Amino acid sequence: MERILIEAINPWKPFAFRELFRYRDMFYFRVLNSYRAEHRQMVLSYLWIVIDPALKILFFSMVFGSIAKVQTGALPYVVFNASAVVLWQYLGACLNASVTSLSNDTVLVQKVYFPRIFVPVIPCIVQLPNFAVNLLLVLVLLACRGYPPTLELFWVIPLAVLSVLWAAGIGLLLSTYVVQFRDLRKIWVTAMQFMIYLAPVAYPLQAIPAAWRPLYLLNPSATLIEAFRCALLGRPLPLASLGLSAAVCLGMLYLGAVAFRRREPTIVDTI
Amino acid sequence: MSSDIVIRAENLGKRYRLFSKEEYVPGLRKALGRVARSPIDLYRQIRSLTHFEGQEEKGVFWALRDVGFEVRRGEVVGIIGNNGAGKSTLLKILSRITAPTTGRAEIFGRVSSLLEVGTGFHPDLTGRENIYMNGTLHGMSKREIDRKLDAIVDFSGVEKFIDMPIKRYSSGMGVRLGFAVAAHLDAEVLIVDEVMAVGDLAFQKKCLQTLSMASETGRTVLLVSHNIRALTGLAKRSILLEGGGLAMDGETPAVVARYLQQDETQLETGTIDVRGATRRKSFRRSIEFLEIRLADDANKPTHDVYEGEPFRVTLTFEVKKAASIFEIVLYVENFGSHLFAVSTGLRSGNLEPGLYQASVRIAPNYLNPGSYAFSCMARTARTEDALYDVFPFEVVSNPAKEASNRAIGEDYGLLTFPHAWEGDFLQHLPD
Repeated sequence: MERILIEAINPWKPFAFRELFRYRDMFYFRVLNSYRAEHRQMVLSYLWIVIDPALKILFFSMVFGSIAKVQTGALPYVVFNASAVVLWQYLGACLNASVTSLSNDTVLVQKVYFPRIFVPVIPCIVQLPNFAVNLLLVLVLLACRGYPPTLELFWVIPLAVLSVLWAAGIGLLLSTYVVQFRDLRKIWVTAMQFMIYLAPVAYPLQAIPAAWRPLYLLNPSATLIEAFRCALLGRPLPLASLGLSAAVCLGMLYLGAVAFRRREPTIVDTI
Repeated sequence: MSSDIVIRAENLGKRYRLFSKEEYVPGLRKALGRVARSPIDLYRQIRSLTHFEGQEEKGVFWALRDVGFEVRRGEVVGIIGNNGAGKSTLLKILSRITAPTTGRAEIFGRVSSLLEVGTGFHPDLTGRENIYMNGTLHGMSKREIDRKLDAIVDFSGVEKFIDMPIKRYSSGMGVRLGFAVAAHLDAEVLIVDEVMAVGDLAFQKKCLQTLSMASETGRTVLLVSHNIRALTGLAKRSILLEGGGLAMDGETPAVVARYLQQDETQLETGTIDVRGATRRKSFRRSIEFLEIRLADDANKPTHDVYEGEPFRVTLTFEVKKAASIFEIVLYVENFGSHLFAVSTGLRSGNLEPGLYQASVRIAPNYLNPGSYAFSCMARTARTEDALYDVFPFEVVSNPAKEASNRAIGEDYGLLTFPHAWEGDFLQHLPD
């Protein structure tokens, strides 16, 4: 028989695997149903998955490609930009949703127990199908412009996994604080609008002075975007900085989970 | 055998932070005040929700203190107490919604807590989708729900609407669906808070049946309810909480009697001194109740009222700051629900500081025999003083009058209204 002990938990072992496994169906249905609910009662329903990134690519191509004339070497700007926007669209949506997830679910958290550690992770999974659709469309666009997929494309899978880990890590770290200090929500939503410029989406990595590049690439968002572009265009990936980023992502996930578990037992009291 | 124990709680305590409420200033002035307050102060205030310093720090409130008990398999235990006695806090700790500040608890078996029915329902999703979402949220597996889906839908009685988004449901239908899921949880321990207060009469009956069936099949139930009558029927044993502490633990009738027990002085003088009564709001009041007195129509103090006889209630209160507008309200309650209220209405006039008395005569008296309580509230433009369930009293059947037109032991509700059966009273209808 199951035995539940209500006392202090050890936050340094943040993953209660057996319990998480028991609630796996809850995880599945929350993912499935948040996805369904997101597109209910909309005229354009699933078209919205595509509209937003398409507008982003259009905007960047006009402002940075045609007006500011950002140099992207031999690549046409649209190709350069579209190959990065796909991942950013996903990563940005995850970061946004994950960090604010717990404060959107306060009613639930106040009324029923379930492993709360799922809450910031769910939005990152919910966004995956949209990411796949966008990826497919951009692959078609790239092929039309003369950049057909190569074997390097398989790198997309580990890159997507790392993106989930990265976004979930940040979400776990910050979401409990967003519940208590609601200013953080405003700060985060504003910051996210600028975060895209901390990654080589609108401009090439070469635009960053060589001396600063290692520091710049410490941000997994930047490395993942750069690696993703390489994977789509069939170029060799920056494996060294990617390895470092993977370590940062895993570290953040653990740190985030520890911070989350430390605050989880009494988070309800701060709502 | 010690493995018979399903719940063991030891020294459970829970500390909360109370903020002294700011004086209410309407509109722009309040908004500006908030801006002018230094962010550092606000930061400290919000941070203090999770950071406690000394043991007896100011603004700290123990909602639960040193509560310990054991529950055996198959027991149904009622939890009784006034508002703020710590009932909800105890249930929240046992259902792991919040962690205790002190002590520990052990539960053997799966726990399902129904602190609110239909939690986590998504308005845009259909009834069927919500059954899966809600069921898994309470720890059921998909396969379990697949198996029980028909039974759940059947129980809820909303078959026709099961593929409709639940935002189109009436509130009663939503609640029924929520309870239907809850009733099919296979947990060994059920923690239930006031679920019976929802739905129509037929549905409430169904809920009660489900709960008593749960205990018959060896499940353990912890139950909070203001409905003492329902509680007495279900729970053999009850726990009485008072001010966060465990006041009594024993057979339900004895605990209920203790809960309803009246103050000695009230029995003699029909008066209760309410200066020390617990008040929900702790900010500085400029109006405060001192005493409540109950008397019969001849103004003789009493602690119970005869059925159908008029009665008088006198409220004594102190005005500490002059007020230009005020309202006094007296409520009659029956275990947590307002039966009715009599109000002075919002009156303007110069209320200088000092002691005041307000008397109200209630006639005719429609209350049926039973246990009731007065609550009262006084407010001015700036503050209010509100006391809940503060003066318990009984309505007793009137021996002077001929036996009333009721069968003994039947439930005819809480109120009687003047009425007349028409014509020859009974008419034989031709076939």
